[in-house]
Amino acid sequence: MTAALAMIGGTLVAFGLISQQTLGDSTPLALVHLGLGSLALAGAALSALLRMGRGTDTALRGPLLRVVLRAIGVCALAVGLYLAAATSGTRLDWTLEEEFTLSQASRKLLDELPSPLSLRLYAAAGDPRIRRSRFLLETFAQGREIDVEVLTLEDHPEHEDRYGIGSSNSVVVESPADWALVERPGESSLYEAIARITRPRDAILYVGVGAGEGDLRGGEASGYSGLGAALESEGFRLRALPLAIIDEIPEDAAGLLLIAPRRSLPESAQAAMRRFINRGGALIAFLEPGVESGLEALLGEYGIHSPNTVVVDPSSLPIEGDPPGLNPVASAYAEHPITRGLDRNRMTFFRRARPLELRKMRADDRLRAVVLSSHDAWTDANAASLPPQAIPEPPSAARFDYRTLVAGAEILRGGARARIVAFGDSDLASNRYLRTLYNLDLVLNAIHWALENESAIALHPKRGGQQLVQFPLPVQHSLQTFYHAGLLVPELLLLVAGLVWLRQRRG
Amino acid sequence: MTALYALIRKECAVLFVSPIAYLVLAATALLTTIVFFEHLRLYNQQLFLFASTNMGGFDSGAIPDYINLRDTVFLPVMEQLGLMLLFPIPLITMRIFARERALGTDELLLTSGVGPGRIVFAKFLVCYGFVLLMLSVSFIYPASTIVKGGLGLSHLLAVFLGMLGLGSGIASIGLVCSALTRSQVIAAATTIASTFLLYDFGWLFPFIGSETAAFLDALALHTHYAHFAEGWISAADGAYFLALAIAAGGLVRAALEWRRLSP
Repeated sequence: MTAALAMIGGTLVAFGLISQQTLGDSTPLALVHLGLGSLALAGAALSALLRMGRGTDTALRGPLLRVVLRAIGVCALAVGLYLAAATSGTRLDWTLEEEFTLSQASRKLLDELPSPLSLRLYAAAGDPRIRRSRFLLETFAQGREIDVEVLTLEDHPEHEDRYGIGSSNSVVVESPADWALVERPGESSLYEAIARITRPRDAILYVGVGAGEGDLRGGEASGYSGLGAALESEGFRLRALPLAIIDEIPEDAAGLLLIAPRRSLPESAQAAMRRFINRGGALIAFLEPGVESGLEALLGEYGIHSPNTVVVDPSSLPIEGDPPGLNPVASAYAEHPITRGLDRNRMTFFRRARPLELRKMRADDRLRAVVLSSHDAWTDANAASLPPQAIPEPPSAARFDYRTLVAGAEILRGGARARIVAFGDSDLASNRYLRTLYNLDLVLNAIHWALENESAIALHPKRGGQQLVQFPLPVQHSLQTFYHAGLLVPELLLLVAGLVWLRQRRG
Repeated sequence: MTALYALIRKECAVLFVSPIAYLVLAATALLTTIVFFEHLRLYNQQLFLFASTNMGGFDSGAIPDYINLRDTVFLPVMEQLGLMLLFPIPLITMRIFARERALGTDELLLTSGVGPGRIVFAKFLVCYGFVLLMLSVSFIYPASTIVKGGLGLSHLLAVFLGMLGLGSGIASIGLVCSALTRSQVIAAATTIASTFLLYDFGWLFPFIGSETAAFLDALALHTHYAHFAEGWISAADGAYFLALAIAAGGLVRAALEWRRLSP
């Protein structure tokens, strides 16, 4: 009777649950199944208890009941332990590049979201990357108004068309106002997409063009499209400003960005820039050794001098065919908002940098060297023309000291305070090097500081995946390893098993 | 303490006096090694497929980012090792209580003055120790390759801890099944069936609501292992395997006490 009731009850409840879950609704049929099944299970439990009571010695009922209660208590304790741990949300990120630990900038962006956000991950069955992407999305959503969904591509062909999804492991980031597609979800790409669709673009940053400056739309390695995208993610509206034909920097300019002009800037443009600075405008200038465009002289008027030489820092290694010393890896930072978050372990890379020398032109000016080379560096006008294998030798009159690679200046003119940031190198912001070490953070911090937007200064997410090995392991070598070392452990264990069996037989 | 030590020694002797333990160790190590080298071969093939140039050279820039030692070799091998554990562990756990019951030696043990709590603790400890040994011999080759392949020692340790959690979870269920029957075959079969069912509920998700799916997902063994495999250690995942061991210990102890008390 007990077994029959339990079997009937179990079957009815199982079918009731399946029906309810499949149809997504509590239909009368499902409710009847669940009701009758529960009654049958309760009857079976009652019957079992009665039978147990009849068949057990009265003196043993108490101890047996205690055994059952203790077992229930232990199980409840185990469930409680799990629930407490799950509620605590404590977790550790043990991945090599801390893939699931959000950077300052990501946390700041997510904490300041103006509206709820939805992150939808589109996956094909069996794609091994989905799990990691889902974890990352869950990390983004943790404790925030962000909805995470994982959808199969086959079930949502209309979404493929609407969002232009081309492959599995794509994420659609959607706010009430806008959406963006991320094809390789990583912290960095998700950060940029979320920032792009949620940040208001108020500040207009004019970018000088027409005198051979770096191109913010150039997607090649020497271009600056990465910087352009990063600036848009930070909420800047970028507008090109042809310096050759302007008389004035527009009034709505929050700042002016000049990336290493290669040709001379017209006098009119230099005068416009001078007026712009004198009325409190922000200038971000990237310089290059071997170029005199007029920008260098203009910066000199405000105390930032840049002799046409190259910083030689013997502590830097030979990179990409350059002699050692020409590409400083900087880890000496002054205490300044531009270098917030950077330290000796968070280095920045410069590809042939021009030294900056700071000499105040007025007592009220505040000039700061914010990024410096090592203290063994010297400057050399001829170093840039050295052959690849040559090791730069310091001239006899060389003075070894820290050399300024980036400088920040606050200039007071006519009651208006302007901010200028000068970089001795422009390659550090190019597509090839922007994501190298902490270059992106340094450049964005500098621009935020110049535009008096210091609250936005934060370390940005790094692009991961660099550490993954993608070289072949020779098959022949692998097979040899397999036949020799690979089989050794199982072989030894089999031998022991055989010996134990023989001993057992003899025994 | 001496009684507990004696119990542990006795359990170790019982386990390792049988060739089954060594056969299980050898089979698991052999299968993992074969699976590992097969994945390595496929990885090499994929690399050359994407990276071979017309001139017979090798252009690593053409390789998609998802083809790498971690995602193409190490983690899939660990996934398969996790599935493989569903079979050898029940072969070990089936003997631990059911065999004693079938031979009648459990009564001797229960009346020996050693409390059921200590008996359960000793048997669980030895069983988990065996799982640790089995995983260690299976882990050698994949780990030695990936440690140079950019996974990092902490991530590697996380994967191993996840495997250990998964193995001990399967062993916990196996010990409960073994304590409830006198037949080793039934113990093994019920363990395999229940752990197989509990391993992953992903196949059910298209048919059920999201809340039920989340509930079942939290119950599944694989879900909690998967977090470790990705290098993401959460207190909930550790607590899940610990809770499984505590609940299993409590149930097995109740089963032993029930048997001791009931006529």
